[in-house]
Amino acid sequence: MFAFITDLFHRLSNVETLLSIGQVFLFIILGFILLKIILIILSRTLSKTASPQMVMLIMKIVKYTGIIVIAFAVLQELGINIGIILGTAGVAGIALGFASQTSLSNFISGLFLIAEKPFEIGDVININNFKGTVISIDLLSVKISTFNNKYVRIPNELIIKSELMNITRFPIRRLDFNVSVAYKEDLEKVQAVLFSIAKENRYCLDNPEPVFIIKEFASSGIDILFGAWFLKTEYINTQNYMMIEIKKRFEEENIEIPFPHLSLYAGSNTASIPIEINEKKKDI
Amino acid sequence: MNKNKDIWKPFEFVDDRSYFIRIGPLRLWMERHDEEWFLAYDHQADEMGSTIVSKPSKGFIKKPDSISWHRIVATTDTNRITLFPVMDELPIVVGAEPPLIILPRNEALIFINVPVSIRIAAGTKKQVILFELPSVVLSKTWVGSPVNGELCLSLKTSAVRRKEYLTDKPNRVGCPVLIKNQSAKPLELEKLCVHTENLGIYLGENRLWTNKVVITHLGVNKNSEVRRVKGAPGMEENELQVASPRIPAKDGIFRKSFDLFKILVEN
Repeated sequence: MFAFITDLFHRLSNVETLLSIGQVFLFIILGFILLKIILIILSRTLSKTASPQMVMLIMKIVKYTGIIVIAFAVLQELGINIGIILGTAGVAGIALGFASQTSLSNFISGLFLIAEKPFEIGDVININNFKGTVISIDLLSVKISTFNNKYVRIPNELIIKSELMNITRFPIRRLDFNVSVAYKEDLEKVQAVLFSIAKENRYCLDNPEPVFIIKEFASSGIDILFGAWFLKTEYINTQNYMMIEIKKRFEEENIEIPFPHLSLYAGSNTASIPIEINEKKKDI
Repeated sequence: MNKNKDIWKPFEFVDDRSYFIRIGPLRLWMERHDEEWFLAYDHQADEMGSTIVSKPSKGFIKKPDSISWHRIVATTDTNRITLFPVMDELPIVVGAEPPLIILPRNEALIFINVPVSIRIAAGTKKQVILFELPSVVLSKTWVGSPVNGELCLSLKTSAVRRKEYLTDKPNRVGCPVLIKNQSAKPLELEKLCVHTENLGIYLGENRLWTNKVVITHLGVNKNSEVRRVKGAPGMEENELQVASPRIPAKDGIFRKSFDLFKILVEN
């Protein structure tokens, strides 16, 4: 042991060895500085023309390739035979390839996702009951941040196989409200009130005009679909404003929003069971 | 001299004094304390005239408590305040009601009264923009398909045929548009999308004007050629430019025309 330490000390005290170590450190520092500069230039150039996910992908490829190149250069500088390492890596690669079929599948799916571009970073997507904003599109998975700020990692293979909804793909959206009104109500008046609510709402667009569809004569009332268009960034404001205004205006206009109810008939086809409400007298 | 012109003149602001400014439906309150500008505003339903008064002068209206102040920190060389009329960032869709029909080989000059935004600048030599706000809150509308279109402001006003018919409002700028129908079929004009952000503003003897716009309609399925006439529109004497186009129109008449102005033919 003592002999080994002495030998090492002698080797290190050798000027040539020290120079070689210094060269290696210089190599590492300069290599990483050069890589950083290349990444910055590449990022600035690509961001003008390519999509964010393409920029992210290219940056990662360049970054990891650069690190491997620096590592090989350092090993060569240290006098280690790279051929042996590459040979070992080849054998290990075959073994890893068998073991990482899922990763390979995700990788290929990732390439398809980047080519097809069903969504971009910043889009709001809905997949497998997860709804959130896309924060990263990588080669193996897509990361989303849910609205209650949870981090979800979805493998690319799953995205390719599943039905996906991109909620913010188009600049404007239609917000649909299922409104039910009592049978006694004048439907034309209901239509006019709903249109005026949308018109007065600063978050709703004048054009395209709102949609008004009488869906069905349901058991408790008449079901109506009312859809108002809005800018995709104004979802919460539009939803809250419309819900508040519909309730308020219906109350002002004496339009009844029915709740599920059941009428029982006792023998007669025309009259319902008379109900007598007895108010309980308060004890004085 | 129209008194509505006075609103665009600079005025000296006295520290620790309250000011009330009205420009059409916009009501604005301003104060300055300890190098901080205080600004509050609201929009009324009716469009009134224009005024600048300081407390306790006649006509001063106290700021309602429900309106909150905006605090702006800005170092300026003087306390001089200038209000500038500027066009909004978004294009404006104007409805022609009833629809205007222009027969083939005919042309029509129409005038549109477009509301301006108000830019508040402080200082004399080096002006600092303190705030910018619309004089009228317009609803938003969409032009084009839901997949691919552009966001615009919706203006409920009629296009008139003579400049004298434009109502004299301090917060409105007259936009002269000459429409030439060079197609073989009548042009039924229901809506116009005016890219006012590409137009400059000129102050004449009586009111504000934009550049004149000339649209040549070549057919329903063909693009219209649109041209912004450079310089003052020549609607009044002594027109002076008070605002440059917010977004300069791109080079090339043909390309520029589509960015500047579009005719919407409703199906």
